[in-house]
Amino acid sequence: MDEETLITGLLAGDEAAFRHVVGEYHGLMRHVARAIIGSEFADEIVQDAWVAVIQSLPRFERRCSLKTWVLQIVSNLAKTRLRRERRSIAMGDAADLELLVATGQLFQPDGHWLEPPGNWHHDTPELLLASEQLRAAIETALTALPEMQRTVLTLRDIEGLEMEEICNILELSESNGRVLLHRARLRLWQTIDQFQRGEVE
Amino acid sequence: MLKCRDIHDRASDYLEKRLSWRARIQFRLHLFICVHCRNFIRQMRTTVTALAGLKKSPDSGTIDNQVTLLLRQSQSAASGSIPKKDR
Repeated sequence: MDEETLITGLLAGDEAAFRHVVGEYHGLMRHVARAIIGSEFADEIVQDAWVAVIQSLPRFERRCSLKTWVLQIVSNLAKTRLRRERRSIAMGDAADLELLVATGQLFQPDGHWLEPPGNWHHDTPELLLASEQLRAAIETALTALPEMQRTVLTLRDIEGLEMEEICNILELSESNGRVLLHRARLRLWQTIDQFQRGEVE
Repeated sequence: MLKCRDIHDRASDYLEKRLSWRARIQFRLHLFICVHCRNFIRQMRTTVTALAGLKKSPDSGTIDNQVTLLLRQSQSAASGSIPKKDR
Protein backbone atom coordinates (compact mmCIF):
# COMPACT_ATOMS: atom_id res chain seq x y z
CA MET A 1 0.00 0.00 0.00
CA ASP A 2 1.67 3.29 -1.03
CA GLU A 3 1.73 6.18 1.39
CA GLU A 4 -0.84 8.41 -0.33
CA THR A 5 -3.37 5.56 -0.53
CA LEU A 6 -2.66 4.83 3.10
CA ILE A 7 -3.21 8.41 4.22
CA THR A 8 -6.41 8.71 2.18
CA GLY A 9 -7.60 5.43 3.71
CA LEU A 10 -6.82 6.61 7.24
CA LEU A 11 -8.62 9.90 6.69
CA ALA A 12 -11.64 8.02 5.35
CA GLY A 13 -11.67 5.69 8.38
CA ASP A 14 -10.84 2.64 6.26
CA GLU A 15 -10.26 -0.44 8.44
CA ALA A 16 -7.68 -2.00 6.09
CA ALA A 17 -5.57 1.17 6.27
CA PHE A 18 -5.72 1.17 10.08
CA ARG A 19 -4.83 -2.52 10.17
CA HIS A 20 -1.84 -1.82 7.94
CA VAL A 21 -0.43 1.08 9.99
CA VAL A 22 -0.97 -0.68 13.30
CA GLY A 23 0.83 -3.77 11.97
CA GLU A 24 3.69 -1.68 10.65
CA TYR A 25 4.08 1.00 13.33
CA HIS A 26 2.74 -0.20 16.68
CA GLY A 27 5.84 -2.17 17.67
CA LEU A 28 8.11 0.64 16.57
CA MET A 29 6.11 3.20 18.52
CA ARG A 30 6.51 1.09 21.67
CA HIS A 31 10.27 0.89 21.05
CA VAL A 32 10.56 4.67 20.80
CA ALA A 33 8.32 5.30 23.83
CA ARG A 34 10.20 2.75 25.94
CA ALA A 35 13.56 4.18 24.92
CA ILE A 36 12.56 7.64 26.11
CA ILE A 37 10.36 7.04 29.13
CA GLY A 38 10.77 3.37 30.06
CA SER A 39 8.28 0.51 29.91
CA GLU A 40 6.11 1.76 32.78
CA PHE A 41 4.50 4.51 30.71
CA ALA A 42 5.21 3.28 27.19
CA ASP A 43 1.81 1.73 26.45
CA GLU A 44 -0.03 4.80 27.68
CA ILE A 45 2.15 7.05 25.51
CA VAL A 46 1.52 4.87 22.46
CA GLN A 47 -2.25 5.03 23.04
CA ASP A 48 -2.09 8.83 23.33
CA ALA A 49 0.08 8.96 20.23
CA TRP A 50 -2.46 7.01 18.15
CA VAL A 51 -5.16 9.45 19.17
CA ALA A 52 -2.88 12.39 18.29
CA VAL A 53 -2.09 10.78 14.92
CA ILE A 54 -5.78 10.47 14.04
CA GLN A 55 -6.52 14.02 15.16
CA SER A 56 -3.52 15.58 13.40
CA LEU A 57 -3.56 13.55 10.20
CA PRO A 58 -5.64 16.09 8.22
CA ARG A 59 -2.86 18.59 8.92
CA PHE A 60 0.04 16.25 8.02
CA GLU A 61 2.19 18.27 5.62
CA ARG A 62 4.22 15.38 4.18
CA ARG A 63 7.59 16.97 4.95
CA CYS A 64 8.78 13.54 6.02
CA SER A 65 7.48 10.00 5.69
CA LEU A 66 4.32 9.03 7.55
CA LYS A 67 6.36 6.62 9.66
CA THR A 68 8.82 9.33 10.75
CA TRP A 69 5.95 11.70 11.49
CA VAL A 70 4.17 9.13 13.64
CA LEU A 71 7.37 8.29 15.53
CA GLN A 72 8.04 11.98 16.05
CA ILE A 73 4.62 12.31 17.71
CA VAL A 74 5.45 9.40 20.03
CA SER A 75 8.80 10.96 20.83
CA ASN A 76 7.27 14.37 21.62
CA LEU A 77 4.58 12.91 23.85
CA ALA A 78 7.10 10.72 25.66
CA LYS A 79 9.41 13.66 26.26
CA THR A 80 6.58 15.88 27.52
CA ARG A 81 5.51 13.12 29.89
CA LEU A 82 9.08 12.60 30.99
CA ARG A 83 9.39 16.25 31.97
CA ARG A 84 6.18 15.91 33.94
CA GLU A 85 7.45 12.83 35.70
CA ARG A 86 10.69 14.72 36.40
CA ARG A 87 12.83 11.81 35.40
CA SER A 88 16.03 12.04 33.45
CA ILE A 89 16.27 10.56 29.98
CA ALA A 90 17.28 6.90 29.94
CA MET A 91 20.00 7.32 32.53
CA GLY A 92 21.54 3.91 32.05
CA ASP A 93 22.18 4.51 28.37
CA ALA A 94 23.42 8.08 28.83
CA ALA A 95 26.00 6.85 31.33
CA ASP A 96 26.79 4.01 28.99
CA LEU A 97 27.71 6.47 26.28
CA GLU A 98 30.56 7.80 28.38
CA LEU A 99 32.23 4.44 28.23
CA LEU A 100 34.25 3.37 25.28
CA VAL A 101 33.33 0.13 23.61
CA ALA A 102 34.48 -2.59 25.94
CA THR A 103 37.16 -3.95 23.70
CA GLY A 104 39.89 -4.46 26.27
CA GLN A 105 39.61 -8.23 26.38
CA LEU A 106 39.59 -8.60 22.58
CA PHE A 107 42.88 -6.89 21.76
CA GLN A 108 46.54 -7.01 22.68
CA PRO A 109 48.12 -3.79 23.98
CA ASP A 110 49.56 -3.16 20.48
CA GLY A 111 46.03 -3.16 18.99
CA HIS A 112 46.10 -6.58 17.32
CA TRP A 113 43.40 -9.18 17.88
CA LEU A 114 44.01 -11.23 21.02
CA GLU A 115 41.63 -13.85 19.74
CA PRO A 116 40.76 -13.24 16.08
CA PRO A 117 37.17 -13.74 14.90
CA GLY A 118 36.46 -17.43 14.26
CA ASN A 119 35.33 -18.89 10.98
CA TRP A 120 31.56 -18.95 10.85
CA HIS A 121 29.83 -22.13 9.85
CA HIS A 122 26.62 -20.14 9.20
CA ASP A 123 28.24 -17.42 7.14
CA THR A 124 25.37 -15.80 5.22
CA PRO A 125 22.39 -13.83 6.58
CA GLU A 126 20.06 -16.59 5.36
CA LEU A 127 22.03 -19.32 7.14
CA LEU A 128 22.19 -17.27 10.34
CA LEU A 129 18.42 -17.01 10.49
CA ALA A 130 17.79 -20.55 9.24
CA SER A 131 19.26 -22.03 12.43
CA GLU A 132 16.44 -21.87 14.96
CA GLN A 133 18.80 -21.91 17.94
CA LEU A 134 20.97 -19.17 16.51
CA ARG A 135 17.96 -17.05 15.65
CA ALA A 136 16.73 -17.45 19.22
CA ALA A 137 20.19 -16.46 20.52
CA ILE A 138 20.13 -13.32 18.35
CA GLU A 139 16.64 -12.41 19.57
CA THR A 140 17.65 -12.94 23.20
CA ALA A 141 20.74 -10.75 22.72
CA LEU A 142 18.57 -8.10 21.12
CA THR A 143 16.19 -8.13 24.09
CA ALA A 144 19.10 -7.89 26.52
CA LEU A 145 20.53 -4.72 24.91
CA PRO A 146 20.16 -1.45 26.85
CA GLU A 147 16.88 0.22 25.77
CA MET A 148 18.39 3.06 23.73
CA GLN A 149 20.85 0.77 21.92
CA ARG A 150 18.04 -1.64 21.07
CA THR A 151 15.86 1.17 19.76
CA VAL A 152 18.57 2.66 17.55
CA LEU A 153 19.48 -0.79 16.19
CA THR A 154 15.84 -1.72 15.60
CA LEU A 155 15.04 1.51 13.79
CA ARG A 156 18.20 1.37 11.69
CA ASP A 157 18.92 -2.29 10.92
CA ILE A 158 15.50 -3.90 11.26
CA GLU A 159 13.27 -1.07 10.06
CA GLY A 160 15.72 0.66 7.73
CA LEU A 161 15.25 4.29 8.86
CA GLU A 162 18.04 6.78 8.09
CA MET A 163 20.37 7.66 10.99
CA GLU A 164 19.44 11.35 10.69
CA GLU A 165 15.76 10.51 11.19
CA ILE A 166 16.53 8.24 14.13
CA CYS A 167 18.68 10.84 15.89
CA ASN A 168 15.96 13.38 15.30
CA ILE A 169 13.21 11.18 16.74
CA LEU A 170 15.25 10.16 19.78
CA GLU A 171 16.94 13.58 20.18
CA LEU A 172 20.42 12.12 20.02
CA SER A 173 23.47 13.84 18.63
CA GLU A 174 24.66 12.15 15.46
CA SER A 175 27.84 10.90 17.12
CA ASN A 176 25.94 9.43 20.09
CA GLY A 177 23.53 7.73 17.71
CA ARG A 178 26.41 6.18 15.83
CA VAL A 179 28.10 4.99 19.02
CA LEU A 180 24.86 3.38 20.23
CA LEU A 181 24.33 1.66 16.88
CA HIS A 182 27.87 0.34 16.77
CA ARG A 183 27.81 -0.93 20.35
CA ALA A 184 24.55 -2.75 19.69
CA ARG A 185 25.88 -4.34 16.50
CA LEU A 186 29.07 -5.43 18.25
CA ARG A 187 27.09 -7.17 20.96
CA LEU A 188 25.07 -9.06 18.38
CA TRP A 189 28.19 -9.95 16.43
CA GLN A 190 29.78 -11.27 19.64
CA THR A 191 26.69 -13.32 20.39
CA ILE A 192 26.75 -14.92 16.94
CA ASP A 193 30.52 -15.45 17.09
CA GLN A 194 30.30 -17.14 20.48
CA PHE A 195 27.42 -19.30 19.32
CA GLN A 196 29.31 -20.48 16.26
CA ARG A 197 32.50 -21.17 18.24
CA GLY A 198 30.40 -23.21 20.68
CA GLU A 199 28.97 -25.24 17.81
CA VAL A 200 32.43 -26.12 16.52
CA GLU A 201 33.80 -27.16 19.94
CA MET B 1 48.58 2.86 10.09
CA LEU B 2 45.31 1.60 11.54
CA LYS B 3 45.32 -1.21 14.10
CA CYS B 4 42.87 -4.11 14.23
CA ARG B 5 41.29 -2.38 17.20
CA ASP B 6 40.55 0.70 15.06
CA ILE B 7 38.84 -1.51 12.49
CA HIS B 8 36.74 -3.05 15.25
CA ASP B 9 35.83 0.36 16.70
CA ARG B 10 34.93 2.01 13.38
CA ALA B 11 33.35 -0.88 11.51
CA SER B 12 29.84 0.61 11.50
CA ASP B 13 31.12 3.94 10.15
CA TYR B 14 32.84 1.99 7.39
CA LEU B 15 29.77 -0.11 6.60
CA GLU B 16 27.55 3.00 6.65
CA LYS B 17 30.04 4.82 4.39
CA ARG B 18 30.57 7.56 6.93
CA LEU B 19 34.37 7.66 6.86
CA SER B 20 36.22 10.44 5.09
CA TRP B 21 37.87 9.28 1.86
CA ARG B 22 41.26 9.34 3.55
CA ALA B 23 40.05 7.24 6.48
CA ARG B 24 38.31 4.89 4.06
CA ILE B 25 41.52 4.32 2.13
CA GLN B 26 43.41 3.63 5.37
CA PHE B 27 40.66 1.26 6.40
CA ARG B 28 40.77 -0.63 3.11
CA LEU B 29 44.56 -0.81 3.21
CA HIS B 30 44.34 -2.50 6.59
CA LEU B 31 41.70 -4.92 5.30
CA PHE B 32 43.96 -5.72 2.36
CA ILE B 33 46.74 -6.92 4.64
CA CYS B 34 44.74 -8.38 7.56
CA VAL B 35 42.74 -11.55 7.08
CA HIS B 36 41.26 -11.37 10.61
CA CYS B 37 39.80 -7.93 10.03
CA ARG B 38 38.49 -8.95 6.59
CA ASN B 39 36.78 -11.80 8.35
CA PHE B 40 35.43 -9.48 11.03
CA ILE B 41 34.03 -6.95 8.55
CA ARG B 42 32.40 -9.74 6.52
CA GLN B 43 30.80 -11.07 9.71
CA MET B 44 29.59 -7.62 10.77
CA ARG B 45 28.04 -7.11 7.35
CA THR B 46 26.36 -10.52 7.58
CA THR B 47 25.07 -9.68 11.07
CA VAL B 48 23.61 -6.35 9.95
CA THR B 49 21.96 -7.87 6.86
CA ALA B 50 20.51 -10.73 8.92
CA LEU B 51 18.89 -8.27 11.33
CA ALA B 52 16.62 -6.97 8.58
CA GLY B 53 15.14 -10.48 8.48
CA LEU B 54 13.93 -10.16 12.08
CA LYS B 55 11.22 -7.64 11.28
CA LYS B 56 7.91 -8.76 12.71
CA SER B 57 4.44 -7.37 13.28
CA PRO B 58 2.59 -7.31 16.58
CA ASP B 59 0.25 -10.25 17.25
CA SER B 60 -3.23 -10.16 15.75
CA GLY B 61 -4.91 -9.58 19.14
CA THR B 62 -2.98 -6.34 19.67
CA ILE B 63 -3.75 -5.26 16.12
CA ASP B 64 -7.48 -5.98 16.52
CA ASN B 65 -7.76 -4.02 19.77
CA GLN B 66 -5.81 -1.11 18.40
CA VAL B 67 -7.74 -0.98 15.13
CA THR B 68 -11.06 -0.96 16.98
CA LEU B 69 -9.86 1.94 19.12
CA LEU B 70 -8.61 3.85 16.09
CA LEU B 71 -11.82 3.40 14.14
CA ARG B 72 -13.81 4.70 17.09
CA GLN B 73 -11.41 7.59 17.46
CA SER B 74 -11.51 8.53 13.79
CA GLN B 75 -15.32 8.43 13.76
CA SER B 76 -15.51 10.81 16.71
CA ALA B 77 -12.85 13.04 15.13
CA ALA B 78 -14.80 13.12 11.87
CA SER B 79 -18.03 14.07 13.63
CA GLY B 80 -16.27 16.55 15.93
CA SER B 81 -14.28 19.69 15.35
CA ILE B 82 -12.08 18.32 12.59
CA PRO B 83 -13.60 18.98 9.16
CA LYS B 84 -14.95 15.98 7.32
CA LYS B 85 -12.89 14.73 4.45
CA ASP B 86 -14.28 13.53 1.15
CA ARG B 87 -15.70 10.05 1.51
